[in-house]
Parts: sequence; structure tokens; C-alpha cells
Amino acid sequence: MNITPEMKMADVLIHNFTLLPVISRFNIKLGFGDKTVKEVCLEAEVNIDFFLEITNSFVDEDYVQQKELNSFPISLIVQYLKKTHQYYLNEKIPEIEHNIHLMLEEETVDNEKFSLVEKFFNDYIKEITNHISREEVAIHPYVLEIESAFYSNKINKDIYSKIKSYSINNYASEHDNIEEKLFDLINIIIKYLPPAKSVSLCNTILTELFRLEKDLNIHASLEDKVLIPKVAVMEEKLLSLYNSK
Amino acid sequence: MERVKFVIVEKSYLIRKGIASIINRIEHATVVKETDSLDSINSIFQKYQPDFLVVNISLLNELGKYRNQEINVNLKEFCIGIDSGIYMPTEYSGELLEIISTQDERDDIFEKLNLLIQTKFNKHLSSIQQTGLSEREKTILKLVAKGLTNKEMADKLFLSSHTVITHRKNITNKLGIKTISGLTVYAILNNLISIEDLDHK
Repeated sequence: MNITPEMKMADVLIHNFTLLPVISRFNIKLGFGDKTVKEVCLEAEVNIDFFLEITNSFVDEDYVQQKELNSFPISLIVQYLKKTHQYYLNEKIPEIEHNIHLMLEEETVDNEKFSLVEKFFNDYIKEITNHISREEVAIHPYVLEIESAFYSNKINKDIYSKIKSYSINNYASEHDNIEEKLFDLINIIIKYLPPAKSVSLCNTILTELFRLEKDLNIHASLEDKVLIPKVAVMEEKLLSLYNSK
Repeated sequence: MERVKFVIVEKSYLIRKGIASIINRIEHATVVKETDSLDSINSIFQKYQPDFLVVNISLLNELGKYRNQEINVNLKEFCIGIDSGIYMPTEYSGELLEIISTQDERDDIFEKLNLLIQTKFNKHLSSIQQTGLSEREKTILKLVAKGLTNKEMADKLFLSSHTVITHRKNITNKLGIKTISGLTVYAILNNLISIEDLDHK
């Protein structure tokens, strides 16, 4: 069932505990009493359309994200993406890294084999860090610039040549497989590594990997299905505006 | 499982019989019709509804004429060319699913066709095929782990790039691992390569 503005926020969370880290990205704090989703969003100054878009994609994998141009600004998406980046880099990944180290320290696994997991994950950290910094340094400023040009209806030569040399669709095509790698790691631990003696630690690592993978998938689909199409439409309109001058 | 149906169109009796004998050796595969020309191809398609058409590449231009009638499917999905070394490839050759040459070894033809069947009927076969990698797939996996590109592997093993790609898809389906780094870890865990091998890169 989709989350709607009239639902009680407490009920939403009780039924979908995976939303806990998500609402904190919106700076929404617990202690809702009987307030509805709409009321909580109003108080926290959160755009309700955007909030519903994100939370619904978390609870329903088949939720179709909307692409309407005016439902919420791109700056909101960028802001949210940045917050999730911080969550990955400052919370989730260090947590998993720490648990992998614990596993090796306790020598409850075949260390020689498990060190492959460590290496795989270390490489992964490098990759995701690069991916994120590229998004924040290059892509985000670009899409914000496009948005502001679009709403002010002004396009100068500078933006025109930027669109020409780097359209958002290029970014879509170079979007790499950072979710796939994580899923491979999960598969390797479940299927191919000798079992660890500390079952609970191993389960913790797996659970964290699953959560991170799910979060990354939603992150990627927000980029692919909402951000990129939105920016592509804006680019097109800006180009035709420039050409008609 | 229902059998995978092949129709062979080839003028040469020996080539036709040879290919049919290989196909009939493949599990789940059967030749439903052999013929020496395209004359009655429409009624053959109506009657047998084959999964694959194996046809001499010299007949491709002629086949083009029939395409909008019974055979209105994409050649790339079901058509396998026979290259008997006599005819030049035509404009349609690039559209084929696979080409088998009369110069190919029996095992290579067997393997190519087997792969096509597996790929096309992946879902049906996957439950049967789950048991480990074949020797060929292990070889490919080792090379993938060592960082070779599809093209490099194709050259090294004398396979078409297309065949290499099909092998890689099958490896991924069997293991549930998609990325090169994941496959590398699998290869080390299963002693297909050692960590030292990787350092030579």
C-alpha cells in the first residue's frame, strides 16, 4: 500500500522500519504522536511530494516514480542525494568495514579466504568514493545550473556549450555498476565462502550489505528515473530556446 | 522439457546430414525438417514452428523475400548461417545469430549450438544446468579474472566474440555473480587462479 499524506507518520514507520534512516535524511525526528505524514512534513519544512516519492520507492519496489517537471525542484533531489552520500560514506560503509575487520581479528573464519572479502570491499570503498565525488563535483553543479537557467528562461553561450559538450544522457550511460558489485559480494558470502564460526557477526555484515544495496538501488533509480529525465527535458528546451534566438 | 526444434536448409546432402547429426546429439534438440531449398519454407514454418533455422548463407538474399510473410521475425533471434566456404558473406550475414563453418570441428559446432539453445531457453534450462561450470566456462572465467577483454579471449581461444559473450552470460547465470571483481574472487576461492596470477597484470 502506498504511503499517503493522510496516514499517521507513526504507523508508516511501524510498518516500514527500513524508512528509519530515510526520515533522518529529511531531518525528521521521532516522537510524532498522532500527527499525519502531511503535518510532520509541514512542521519539518519538508516538501511533501518529494517525501512521498522517496518513501514510496523504499516500501514498494514497483512504485513508479513521477517525472512531472514542477512537482519538486531539482535542488531538492540534489540535496537528498548528498545526504544519502554522507550516510553511505560516514555511517554505513565504516560500519561494514569495521565488522569485516572484527571478523578477521577474531579469526572465526578462514582468514585467508575472508581477506578476499576485505580486499573486495576496500576496492569497493575506493570506487564508491570516486563515484560520489564525481557526482558532487561535476554532475550536481551542472544540473543545478541547468535548472536555474531553465526557470529564468535565460541561456547564454556558456551554458549552451556545456549542454552540447556534456549532456546528462552521457552521465546516464556511464553510470556504473556499484550496486551490482555489492550484490556479488552478498552472493559470494552466502554461496561460496566457508561458513564463519561467529554466525551473528556474519549475519550482521550481510544484513548491512543488503540494506546498503537496497538503498543504493533506490538512489540509482532516483537518478535514472527522475533526475536524468527531468534534466534531459530541460536541456532540450534550453537548446531550442537558444537556437530560436 | 519440450524439444527445441531446428529446420535445416542446405543444398549439399553431406553438409545437411552432418549438421543434423550434430544437432540431434544435443540434449533437448531435434531436427524437425531438412530441405535443400527455400521453396516450401513458408509451409514448413507454419507446420513445425521451429525455434531455429539453420540456413546456408548463400540463401540469405532469397530468404529476405520471405521475411515479411511467415518468417517475420528478426534473423538475429533464430537464424544460424552455414558457411561452406564457397559463397561470400552477404549483407544479411551480420544479422545472423551465429555462423557455423564447414571448417569447424564437430565439438565447436556442438558447443555453439548448445550455447544458443541455453541462452534462448535460459529459464527452462537453468534448473537443470545449475551444476557447476563446464571446462570451457572455467577457462573463460580464469581469463576474465586475469583481466582479458572479450576480444582478447576470443583471439586466444579461437572463438567468435559472440561465443565468448554467451559463455560469460552463462557463467554469470550459473554463479549469480555479475562483475569482474566478483568473478575474480570466485575464481580464487575455487583455486582456478591464485592471487599471484593477478599480480602479473
